[in-house]
Amino acid sequence: MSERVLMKGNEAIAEAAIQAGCRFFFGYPITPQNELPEYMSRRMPQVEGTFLQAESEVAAINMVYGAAGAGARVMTSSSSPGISLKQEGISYLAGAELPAVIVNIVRGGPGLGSIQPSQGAYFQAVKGGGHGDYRLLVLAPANLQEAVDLVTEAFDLADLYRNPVLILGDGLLGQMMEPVEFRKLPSRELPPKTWATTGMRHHPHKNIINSLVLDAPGLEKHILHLQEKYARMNLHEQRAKSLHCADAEVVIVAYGSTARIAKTAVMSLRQSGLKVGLFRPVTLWPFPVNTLSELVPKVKAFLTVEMNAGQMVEDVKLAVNGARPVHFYGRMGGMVPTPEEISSECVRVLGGVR
Amino acid sequence: MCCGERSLPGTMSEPVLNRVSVIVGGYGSGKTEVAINLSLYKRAKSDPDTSVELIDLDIVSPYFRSRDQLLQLKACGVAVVAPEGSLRSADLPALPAVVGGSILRRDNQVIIDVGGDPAGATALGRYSGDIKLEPVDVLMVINPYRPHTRTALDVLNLLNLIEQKSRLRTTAFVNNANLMGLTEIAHLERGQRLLGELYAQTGIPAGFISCMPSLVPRVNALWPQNAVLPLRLTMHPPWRDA
Repeated sequence: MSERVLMKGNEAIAEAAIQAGCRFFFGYPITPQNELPEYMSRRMPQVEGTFLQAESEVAAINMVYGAAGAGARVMTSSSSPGISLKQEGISYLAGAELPAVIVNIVRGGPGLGSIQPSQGAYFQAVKGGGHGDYRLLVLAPANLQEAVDLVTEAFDLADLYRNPVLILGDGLLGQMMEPVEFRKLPSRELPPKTWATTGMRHHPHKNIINSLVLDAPGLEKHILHLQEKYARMNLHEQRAKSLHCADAEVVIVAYGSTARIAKTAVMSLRQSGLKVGLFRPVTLWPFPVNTLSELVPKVKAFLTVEMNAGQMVEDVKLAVNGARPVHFYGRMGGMVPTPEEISSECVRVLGGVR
Repeated sequence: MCCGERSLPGTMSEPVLNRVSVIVGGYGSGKTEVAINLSLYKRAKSDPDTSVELIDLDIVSPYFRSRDQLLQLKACGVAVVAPEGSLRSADLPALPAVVGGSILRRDNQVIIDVGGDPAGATALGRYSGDIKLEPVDVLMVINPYRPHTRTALDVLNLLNLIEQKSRLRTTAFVNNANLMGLTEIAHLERGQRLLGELYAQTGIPAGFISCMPSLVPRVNALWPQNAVLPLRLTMHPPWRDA
């Protein structure tokens, strides 16, 4: 499928996974990501893959553990409350170093919240969610073509680092439609899965997938090994996109669909001659500290815009490290900021820095 | 044309033949944009005293529904019949009682925006008895650039399932071939070829072409026998660049 097709975000993510060689999908329905499992239920049989609607989110994530342990490319998807249910399994995947791709099409919370878009799961995505010292690689697409490309890459990154990768979208991204193309990305050299539980025909020893390490020195050694891996991820995988940041006095920091709304605000403020830029993290973990801190000496202030009560703003403050003021503007509960709201917030911040 | 039977071969001379227009199709085929623009078309063609009512039957997808345009449509003289209060932003299988009344009244113009796929058409089945009491337009919106309606075989599978669930016969196909802002005449040509194949296999005619207003002059020149519904798009993303 190389020609352009018109797809919903949820469908595009599903097709991208299939094209990346994902042959197992385990899920449980929840709005606003239902088109993803529904698409998988149609497509998996066509590629001799397995679609299974589990009895619960907890069951689904543990099926992911099983398939990933056997070396298969596997995906699960859900939306906020469902991802909360999966946290135990995600921690197990991280502990057992299993590659898998998890999709969260975030809706309003806390609790059952609403079915409208939100970015209220940022903390959960980048600061753990489950228990223990672990990290997920978190990718945040802002349009559907980027979602397709990042999902394709997510499977490689998961295999490369033996680590679960989270695609963090929101209801808007999942439900909206855009033309997309499924293109071949440059393939990476990936390590063979010598650890997978594929039977003893291929190797003389037993492979065991486990996250239980009862002796304390042994577990500390394992955690230190994980930390070394996260340090490598932090070194190599930070990604961000900048727009009009070279001469900007105020830089808006926003990710995902909020960044697209912020872009409209930046373009209209630039037309009025205001020096405003946009910094968009594409990886939320590792947070793109390096490129963001390069901006600090050139910029007078930062404005973080999110669809939550202020979550990523903490990472922006850590990166800026007190050298410049970091402002915040957020909408919550399924309310989406307008370009005009962001513009007037920007003008207010600009007024303060002059 | 009698309800329950296939309509006669040929094309529709205008996008509307009957009082009730039912819009069905796959997920994301463009049903809501077609339904909203057809409502405005009916408004323009109707007596000012006639009520034009757009019924939002979409209980399967939570975003980008007719009800999101409630106030704008009301200002244009189109009443939106949809769940109210907090049910408006839910995806619960519950519909207000006024839907039935709107269909049974004979003094109004009705457009029914049905949810996508057989899942969405199930809600329509509940009203099929009332709808079949008079001749109606059941229009299936087709975009061959959507993943599950690329070929005639894809569309026939979907058509059968939607007809089973809705218990209504489709009377015409709508060529809504598009890649949103990237749409060119070549895309509509592919839609016309697909609708030609579908007519050959089912006897269901090509109803009308729906497209951006900028393409209308070329569409009229290329396919003068087809009615055209210019689409003034109402469903915009919050960044408004699409």
